[in-house]
Amino acid sequence: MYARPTVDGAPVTFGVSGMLWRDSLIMYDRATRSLWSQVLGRAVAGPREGDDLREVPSEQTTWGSWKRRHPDTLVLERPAGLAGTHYAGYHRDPDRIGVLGTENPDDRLPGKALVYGVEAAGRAAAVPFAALADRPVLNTDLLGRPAVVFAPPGEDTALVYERTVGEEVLTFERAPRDGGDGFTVRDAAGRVWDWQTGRCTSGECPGEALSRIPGTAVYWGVWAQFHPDTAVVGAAGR
Amino acid sequence: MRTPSARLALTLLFLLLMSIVGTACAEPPAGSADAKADADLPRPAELSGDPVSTLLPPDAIPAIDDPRFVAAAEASLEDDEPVVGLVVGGEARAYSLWHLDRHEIVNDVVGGEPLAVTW
Repeated sequence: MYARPTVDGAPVTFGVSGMLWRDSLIMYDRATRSLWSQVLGRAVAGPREGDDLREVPSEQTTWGSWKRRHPDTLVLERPAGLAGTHYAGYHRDPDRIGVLGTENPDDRLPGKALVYGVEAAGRAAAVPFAALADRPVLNTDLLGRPAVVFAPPGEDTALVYERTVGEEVLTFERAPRDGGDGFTVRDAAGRVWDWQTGRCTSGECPGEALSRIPGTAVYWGVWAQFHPDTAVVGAAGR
Repeated sequence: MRTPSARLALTLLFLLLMSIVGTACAEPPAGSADAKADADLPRPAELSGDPVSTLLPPDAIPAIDDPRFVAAAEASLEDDEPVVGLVVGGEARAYSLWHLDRHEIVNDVVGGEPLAVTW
C-alpha cells in the first residue's frame, strides 16, 4: 500500500495502465501520466521517473481473522455473489507465474510460494509465509538489521517489525498463556508487547513501540524478477 | 510472444478480462482528460532490460475511485476470504482480494491520508 503523492495541491489518483512488467502491475497517475511499478513503489517512466512512493504498512489475512481483531472495521463493499476470484485457477496453479508463461527465475523457492517482500536502500529480503507455519515468532535479520516476524497461529497473517529499540536489540518469544487464548509475546527481559501494534504493554519499556517494516505480499516468482539478489529469510535454522 | 503457450495465455486472459469489464467500460466523452489517456502514456518497450507487455488499454481494468464501505456486521464476505487490512489514523479498513483482483487499485482516503490500495 502506498501514500498517494500530492501534485498541484491534490493527491493523485492511480489507474491501471494495461501494461505488465516482470509479471506485475504498472500503474499510471492521472496527474502526470507517469508509469509506476506496484512492486517497486517507484515511477519507472514519465515526468516522475525515479520518484518513490511512501509505503504504508498493511496485512494480508482472512476476513474472519481481521474482523475478530478489528470489530469496528469498515470493509470495501463488494458485489454479492462473488464466489472467489476469477483468477482462482491462476492462484491454484503451482507452475504459472503471471499470464505470459514466465518460468521461475530463482529456484530457491517454488515460483508460486507466497512471500512477504521487503526492500530498502538497495537490499531486498523475502520471508516465505510457509516458513512461518510452525514459527509464530521468528527473530531474524532483514536487510542487515534485526527484525522479528509475528505470525500467530490461526490468524493467517504476518507482521514484521524492527527489533532494535534505541540501543537495545530485543529477542522475542511467545508468552505462555495465562488462561486467556490471545497471542502475546514478550522479550528476554519479560516485557510484554502487543503484536498487532508493536507497543510495549507492561514492564519497564525501552521505547513506546516497535517500528513496522512495510512490505509486499507477492509470489516468489514475481519478487525474484525484481530482486535477483534477494535474501530468503526463515529457511531451516534461521 | 516468446512461446505458443504465452500467446494462448495472453489471448485467454484478454478474452476473459474483456468479458468481465467490456460492458462496464463506457467511452469517455471526447475532449475529456480521460480521453487523452490512450494517447499520452509513456510506452517503453523495456525497463531495466526486461520487456514491458501491453495487454489492455488504460483503465480496461477499472481502478476504484469512489470506494464505498460497510460496517463489519453488514458485510457479506466469507470468513476465509483473503483480504488486505490496514489501520491508519485509528481507522481500520479491509479490502477483499477477490474484489481487488478485478480492480487492482483502490484510490482511498483512510484516517485522513490519501492512499492507494494496490494488488
